[in-house]
Amino acid sequence: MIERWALVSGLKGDLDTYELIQKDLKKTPGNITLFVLGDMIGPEKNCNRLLHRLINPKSNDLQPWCIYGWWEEQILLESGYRGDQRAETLRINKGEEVVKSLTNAVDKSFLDWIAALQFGFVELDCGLIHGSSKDIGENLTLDTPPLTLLDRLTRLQVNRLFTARSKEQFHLELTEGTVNSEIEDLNGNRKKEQKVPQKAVIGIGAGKNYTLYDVGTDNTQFVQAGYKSEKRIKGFGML
Amino acid sequence: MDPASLNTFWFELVNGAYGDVYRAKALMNLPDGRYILFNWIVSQQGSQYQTLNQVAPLNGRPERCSEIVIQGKNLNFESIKSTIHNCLLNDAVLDHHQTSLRNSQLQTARR
Amino acid sequence: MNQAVISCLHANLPALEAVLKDIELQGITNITCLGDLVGYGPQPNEVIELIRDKKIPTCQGCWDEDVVDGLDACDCSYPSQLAEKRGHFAHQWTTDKLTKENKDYLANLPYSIRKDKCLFVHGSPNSQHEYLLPDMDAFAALERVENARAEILFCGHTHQPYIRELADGSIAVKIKNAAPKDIQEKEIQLPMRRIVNAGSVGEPRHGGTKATYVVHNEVTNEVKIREVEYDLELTCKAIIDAGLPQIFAWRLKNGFEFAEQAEDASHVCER
Repeated sequence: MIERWALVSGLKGDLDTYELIQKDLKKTPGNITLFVLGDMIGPEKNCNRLLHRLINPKSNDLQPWCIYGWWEEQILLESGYRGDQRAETLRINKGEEVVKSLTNAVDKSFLDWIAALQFGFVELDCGLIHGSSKDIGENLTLDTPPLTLLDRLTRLQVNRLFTARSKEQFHLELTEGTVNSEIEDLNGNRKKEQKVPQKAVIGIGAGKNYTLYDVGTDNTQFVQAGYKSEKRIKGFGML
Repeated sequence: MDPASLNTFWFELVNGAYGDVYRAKALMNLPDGRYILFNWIVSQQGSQYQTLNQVAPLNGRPERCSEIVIQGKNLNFESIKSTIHNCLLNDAVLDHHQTSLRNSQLQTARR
Repeated sequence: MNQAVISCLHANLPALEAVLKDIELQGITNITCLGDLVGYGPQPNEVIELIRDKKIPTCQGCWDEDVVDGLDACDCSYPSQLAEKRGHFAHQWTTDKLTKENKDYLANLPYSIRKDKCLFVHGSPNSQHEYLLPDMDAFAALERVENARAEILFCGHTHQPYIRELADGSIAVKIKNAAPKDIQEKEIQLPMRRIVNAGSVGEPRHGGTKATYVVHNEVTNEVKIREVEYDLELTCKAIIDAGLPQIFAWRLKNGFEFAEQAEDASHVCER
């Protein structure tokens, strides 16, 4: 059976979209593992129903494997889970109202579950994270310098990095890299040429836009929830 | 015993940080349940390390003791004692170590 | 015109005096210090006062930050529990010994110093606690210099002096799974950059006992590692007289500092 990953992010409390995705996945062939790469919550709508569903999947739901994202980090900061720090970046950029909306959107009883989520998963040679391995808030896009992308891959010691923070869907391969390094220390000189094997960074999208990854062939498919499969293959490539 | 600390302590011991050592031998319990035999003789190159077959279960302190025997001159026992003390894991850290070891075994089972 | 870069003095006054003398003998007046003035060694106030007296521009090191703000380093910055306990002891001892004036001086040190194409930091441009080891991944090393918008990055923290040149680099990229018009391949050329680690004046970790620092010729761009002998016995005696762990003196005397190896920069601290 083909092994596929479904990579979802940025639901921000939207249970309807989550249900659409679950419905899609039931029709998708293969053995599917569902990963939710953060931003399950957000300030726009009440998130309790979605959180409840993620924690207590319906009997025919695919089990979601969740990590925390930027919005989860904000609520954890604001709720005192990160020591004395508060969600100051959010407060400065979006104002007190948004901070309030966020804390009102999530029942306190879910905070311990959110706090126990991991920063990311490493599966096979792939890293699954929300932002980057440097910072949960870092946007990785097609415009990020390849040197930076390579560094973020190296930090997790993976060959493929799935990221969600930028909300974009893309599949960028670093096909070849080389650099000459000459080191001089008290033991003398040594030269070496370092090459990188093929690596990739994949933006999985957000909300209705999610990604299917075929583990065996290393192919991605960018999907919009609720569209029939033949349409999505034709119509949804790059955004 | 914290493995990395034990490594540092053993290096210091056989290199004379606590006095002139001729012979040192130890049996040490590690948090992952391993029991390791350390052996060092001044006339031989380097230390020998051997993992014994008996593995302790990952549920707290093992029942068997860690032991060390040192032969030498001008040994600073107080300093040896306090260094060993600093290598010992407390219950909370040991539990943390063992929980993550148990979890990684579980994860392997899930795959 | 030559400039000297010193780092990781670690409250070792005889070593600092010997290094400053060596610099003076070469007629160099332009000196930059990369922090860690204190920690482990027995003369924290004396070392700070000498640096202040000579008006040497200095970045803040991880020890300088921690003795002021309390221990900020995450546990993973120590290679073992034993190293951590000894580090915490030295931290407490240093905090108790430092005068308020000297603490204020450390608190107000800048995180980095920039002079034209040179950037001076303690650990890396990312963090005072990050180790840029000599053999770390070449692309990751280049990324540190490039993202800091420098041509030469001077750092310390590892206590191992080295000069690393990263040249003739390139990365080829290809956009996959896109509309045909967006599919493209390109090759990006990477600039030539250098990382210079100044080693350590007060606690060398290169396997020997000599203090190390570097001299950079700003015209030819040549960098040289200097090794300086100092009165080791004097420092070792001061460590024991101060009531600091005698193991610190033993390590210094035997050049065994390398026994405590640090984590690589690829280690991700989630704190």
